[in-house]
Amino acid sequence: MAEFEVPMGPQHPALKEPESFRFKIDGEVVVDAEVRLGYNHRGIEKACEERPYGQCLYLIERICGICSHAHATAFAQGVEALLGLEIPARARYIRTIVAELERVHSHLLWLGVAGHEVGFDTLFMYAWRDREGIQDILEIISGNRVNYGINTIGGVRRDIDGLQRDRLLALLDPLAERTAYYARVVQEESTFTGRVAGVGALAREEALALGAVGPQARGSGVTADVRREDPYAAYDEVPFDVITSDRGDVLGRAEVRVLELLESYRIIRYALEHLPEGPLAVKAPRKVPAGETVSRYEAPRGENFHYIRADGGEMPFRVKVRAPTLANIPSLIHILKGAYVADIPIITAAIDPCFSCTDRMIRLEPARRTGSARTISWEELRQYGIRWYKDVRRG
Amino acid sequence: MPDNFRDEFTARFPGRPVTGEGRRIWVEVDAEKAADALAFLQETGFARFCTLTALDTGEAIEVLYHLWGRGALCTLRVKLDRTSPSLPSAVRLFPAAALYEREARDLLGVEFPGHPDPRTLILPEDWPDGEHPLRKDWAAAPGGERRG
Repeated sequence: MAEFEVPMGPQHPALKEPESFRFKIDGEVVVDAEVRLGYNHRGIEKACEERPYGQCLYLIERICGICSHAHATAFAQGVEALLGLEIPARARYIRTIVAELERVHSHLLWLGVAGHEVGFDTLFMYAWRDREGIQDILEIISGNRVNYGINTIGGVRRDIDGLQRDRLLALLDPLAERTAYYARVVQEESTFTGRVAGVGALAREEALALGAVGPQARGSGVTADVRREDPYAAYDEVPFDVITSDRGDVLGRAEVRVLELLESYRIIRYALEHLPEGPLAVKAPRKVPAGETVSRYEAPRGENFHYIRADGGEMPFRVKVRAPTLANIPSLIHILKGAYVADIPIITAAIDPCFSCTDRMIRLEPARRTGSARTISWEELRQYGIRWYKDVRRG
Repeated sequence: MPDNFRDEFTARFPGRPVTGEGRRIWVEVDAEKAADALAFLQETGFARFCTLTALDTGEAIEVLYHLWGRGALCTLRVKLDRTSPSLPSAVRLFPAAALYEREARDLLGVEFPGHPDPRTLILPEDWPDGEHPLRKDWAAAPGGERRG
């Protein structure tokens, strides 16, 4: 049978890093995959060279709508390192609490999307309903569901008061109970495991060599977590476990995320109960002395990496950002080779590239000599995957 | 800085600067020693290739390799001539470097001979040759129009 080429993407305004994939398929099997980026490259690194540090913070928070706090914190702590500023303990704890709230809403969002991609919409609705509770809390704390604007250079802009603390604490127990139930569903319910066990296999050595980060790496047994190996904010004072799975498949990545939720609740509870008294921020000078620094942060999708060079002026000389999705693309491409077409949606979703909105256009294009092109949407591909698996099981 | 790192590095690359404190190390080698230094760092435990930063200082193009290992982040600096910056590709040693080298090639014009797939990654397909937006002397044309 002739090999088909299947371009997928690139345009999708809801993706923080729009991607264009090109698959070569032979029957049901992907024989080759490649990626093309840059369709929504906004030149933020260049723009930062023309703005004061304070304004850069706002711009950088807007790199991503899901992990906005991740980028803002990575940048702020980099600038603070260049300034030699020690931020107040209360600010470190508040950054940690918001960071974990962000991880919780992101992982719950992912769990829902994963359920949806494999045709398990009950899980999707449960997870997203629970996520609303977290979004409400984030709104109560920051005034926003996304782009919380918590950080300033030198600390945080908003406090967490007693009332907010009690609301959040009251939410944690029921959420933990429900998450423990999802953990059982993910690990035992055949509606889910039947579609993800053994799918998208990535060995530990491959994950390391291809630079995988976050749950993509930890799902293959790599204990890479910036919070543990290179602690920032309050992570060196807060007890938590780094979750890994030796499965190395999509189920492993799902397991890691769900169990990480439970760790996040633990971190939030501890940080709230041990929230130090004191000021929220120290004053930061406008000019940053010449120097350079590297700031790392464990975003929900993995290591977020910022490099900042200062030349003594009010604006950065160079800012470089490497978001976790970029680091996970080489391993994604690797595991897509040899996968079934029906598994493309869930394998791609398993790196969590913000596939919260679907209906990405996909063009199924037969080799030129054999005739006409056919276009299907992401939704149709998802449906195709679900049907295909049902047929396989029916035998 | 991990124990003995300074001695190990200066034994292998005499006279080259090693700085840093806590979990950050900064080292620098000449361009012709870059491949050796990367291999040395990989052998001595810096196995995770985090990313690569390229920047234009106005006098030179700097390429910074960021490697994690031994509980520290080691940044290897290589300074290149601005007119034709070029460094052997690190992809053979670190497959994770592939996308980052393509990004640096697009945005700063650093060539990485030996790269298995040195195509444009970020810039549009019809982007003019020799235009590298992160060069300090590059500016968008007035009105935000793309040049070329």
